[in-house]
Amino acid sequence: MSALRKGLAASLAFLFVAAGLFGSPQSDAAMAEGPVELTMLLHEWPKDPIKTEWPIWEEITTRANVVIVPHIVPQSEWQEKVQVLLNSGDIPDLLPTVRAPDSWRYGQGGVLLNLSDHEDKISNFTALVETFGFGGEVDNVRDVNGDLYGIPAFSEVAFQGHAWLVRMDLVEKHGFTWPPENLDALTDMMTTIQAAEPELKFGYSNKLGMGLMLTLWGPLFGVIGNDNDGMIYDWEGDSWYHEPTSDNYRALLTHLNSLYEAGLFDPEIPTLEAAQWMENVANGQYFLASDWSGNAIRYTEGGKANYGESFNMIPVLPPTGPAGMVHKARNRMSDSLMVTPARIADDGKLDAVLGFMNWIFSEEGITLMTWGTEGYTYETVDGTTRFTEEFLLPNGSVNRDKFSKDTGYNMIYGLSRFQPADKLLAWNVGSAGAQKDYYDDLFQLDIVPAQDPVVKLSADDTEDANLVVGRLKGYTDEMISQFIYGRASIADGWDAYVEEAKKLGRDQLVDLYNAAWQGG
Amino acid sequence: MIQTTEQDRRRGPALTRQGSGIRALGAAVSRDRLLYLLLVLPVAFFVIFHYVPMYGLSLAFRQWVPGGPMFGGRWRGLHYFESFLTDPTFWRAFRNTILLSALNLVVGFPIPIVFALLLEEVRSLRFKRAVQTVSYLPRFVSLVVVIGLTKEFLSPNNGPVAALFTYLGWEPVHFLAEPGWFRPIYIGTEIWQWTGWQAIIYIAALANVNVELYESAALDGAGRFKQALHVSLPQMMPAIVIILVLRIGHILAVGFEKVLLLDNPLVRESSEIIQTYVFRMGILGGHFSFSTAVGFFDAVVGLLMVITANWFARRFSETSLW
Repeated sequence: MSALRKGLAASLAFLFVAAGLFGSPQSDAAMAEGPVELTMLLHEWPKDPIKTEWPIWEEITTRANVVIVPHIVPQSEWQEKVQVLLNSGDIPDLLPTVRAPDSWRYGQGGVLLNLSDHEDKISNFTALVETFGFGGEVDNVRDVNGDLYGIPAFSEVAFQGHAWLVRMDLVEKHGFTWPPENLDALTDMMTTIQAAEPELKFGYSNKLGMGLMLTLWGPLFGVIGNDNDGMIYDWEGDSWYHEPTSDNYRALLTHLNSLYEAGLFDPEIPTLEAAQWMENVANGQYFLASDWSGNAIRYTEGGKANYGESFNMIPVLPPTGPAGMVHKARNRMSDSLMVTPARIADDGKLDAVLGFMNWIFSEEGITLMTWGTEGYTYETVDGTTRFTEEFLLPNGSVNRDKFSKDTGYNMIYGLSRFQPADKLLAWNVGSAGAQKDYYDDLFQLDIVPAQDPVVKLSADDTEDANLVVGRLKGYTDEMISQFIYGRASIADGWDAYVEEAKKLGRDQLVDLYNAAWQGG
Repeated sequence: MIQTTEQDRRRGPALTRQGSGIRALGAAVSRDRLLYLLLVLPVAFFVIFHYVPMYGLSLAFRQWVPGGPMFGGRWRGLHYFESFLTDPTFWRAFRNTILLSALNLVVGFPIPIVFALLLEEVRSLRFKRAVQTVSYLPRFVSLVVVIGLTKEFLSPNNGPVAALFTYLGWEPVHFLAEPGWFRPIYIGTEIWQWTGWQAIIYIAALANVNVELYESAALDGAGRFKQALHVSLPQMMPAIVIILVLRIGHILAVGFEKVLLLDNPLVRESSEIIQTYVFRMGILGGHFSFSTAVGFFDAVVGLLMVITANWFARRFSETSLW
């Protein structure tokens, strides 16, 4: 079997190189001075195939002295492929997007290289962590022994691309101002406008189900939101609690349900397809929505065509809830890592792999992996870096399609890199208009909540916890929807809900977390 | 049909006699070596893809260790079986799976048969061909597209069905958020997509019916309906029974992707099936031993179903799988 597999792998590899796809002039890795070939798992989207002529490949070879040999997987099979490679032990030299807990398990099993043993060789990385204060976040992806089995991806600022989008034309037409003083004022605004505008079907809607709804409305009620296991760290009490059964959550659900009962809340949120939803927005069916901030531009363009010249949808600061005006940012650091197998030490590639990882976090590497090539994708004018005309759309935002199709700089999925704040903003926001104003305002808010620490459970505890989480999350997810959409009454059913959660092992989970937290 | 079984019976002892000596077997193999050569590929296929992976079932009794041996490490006995057998959500998923599958079978199974019989009655060959082609076209539409269309059609605010309801003065129904509507929607789309395709085998069976049978039935005074009932249907019986037995064996294997695409928390009390349960509990949580245990259970139930169905088939009709 294994001989057969090796044979297959060898012939596939041969075909790959024979096809001339990524054959490089220096394919003879034995040449001591030449660039070393590193295999790397990459994924591609059907619409943006990975291309040999992308400038990124040659730039990496010239600057980092390695040749990246991509092993390409369709995006749809990515997760599965990563798991298969980890389990088979047949790991390419660079394997991106491995979840931290997986990296610990495989790392302790001796499959992955322990980077902590080689920290002197990735000094740029350690320096960057130091400079931008990522220490705490990096500790979260170290295992119980403090070992690090991969490098994460960083952004200089915590960025939240999802925003509240509001029909500012309607706000102004009906004599309101944004942001409303509190949630009652918002409900008032929604009620008045929905009653007055015939095309408007619902005061609020969002696409892609309940998740986004809870991400945006939750923080207004002090709900942090943890899609994985629902466990949240209480900074004051120094302990862990289960959020979906907490009082804050109850207040959140009560409010959302009141909006639904008042007919302000789109009942189709759990079932609408994204494309249909986006059409509805541009047809003026919603007053307030949440989506990527950048999409406001296309909704406004579509709305002007379908609805009338006055249509104006822009990203705005969130309303003020019981917990204040809060907008949850994504983390500054990914919780998945780019790992390398332990075998590279025997293959004589140790220096090449670590050298490459180190180079990614050098000044040169950071610029190349984010902005691209000077004079082609970006230029520096008066000390400000910006994308060149060639890569901008007429409305000033970045032509992401062209950037992805022609350069490859943004297509190396999961490659751990550091994104400087100016690039992040130039990429997501553009240089002027409502988008820029929004982010200028947003960064005035303290949008970065303290990041929860990570509880590191033992293998057995992880297994037990997973079982409980699987059951509990299935139940709470179901009930959350039922509460919001009035299928179950919060006033009558909340206690029974908490009781059922206990039966499913909620307290066991909380105890497990707290024991591990205090013990660790 | 009785002939088939008699032939089988006759062939049985003949085979044993031939195989009674290794030498005889060797002679048989060497005589028909080209035929046996043809057999090598399918046998290899089943060994590699069906029998070897069966060893993986041992993972259901062992704790899976990342980076460890593929078939698991520490022996946990029936631990993983206990985990799901004591979980009420599992039993709900089990019930939903059986219910969805059984309803789908009861409602969906006869339709291609009736369709084939009706099509057989069509005189115009051109019209018949056109209908057949149109009816099996949906089979080539991707599932994601089918569900996308379904969702657009049934949208209570923008869909044509809601528009019709409003026109008739009825209150639009949010079908996709009603647990009671989940099964009808699932089965309805299934029928729309598969009727034409599944009818092909029956149409083929009907094409082989000896015309003389119809003629003698007509002589005996049978009209079109009686002919369909007493000639066409019995002639299709072997195909019907075999397909029924096979489908019963797959009763726990409901279309997973489709359920996942139609699913939302509001309908989960009807939409949670064993596969989605395993997906949430096992795969998303990296809980492979647990998933294997459920899969094992699934396979055993499926096997029992096939055996039972085959027993019934043998008992009450003359055709069966073995």
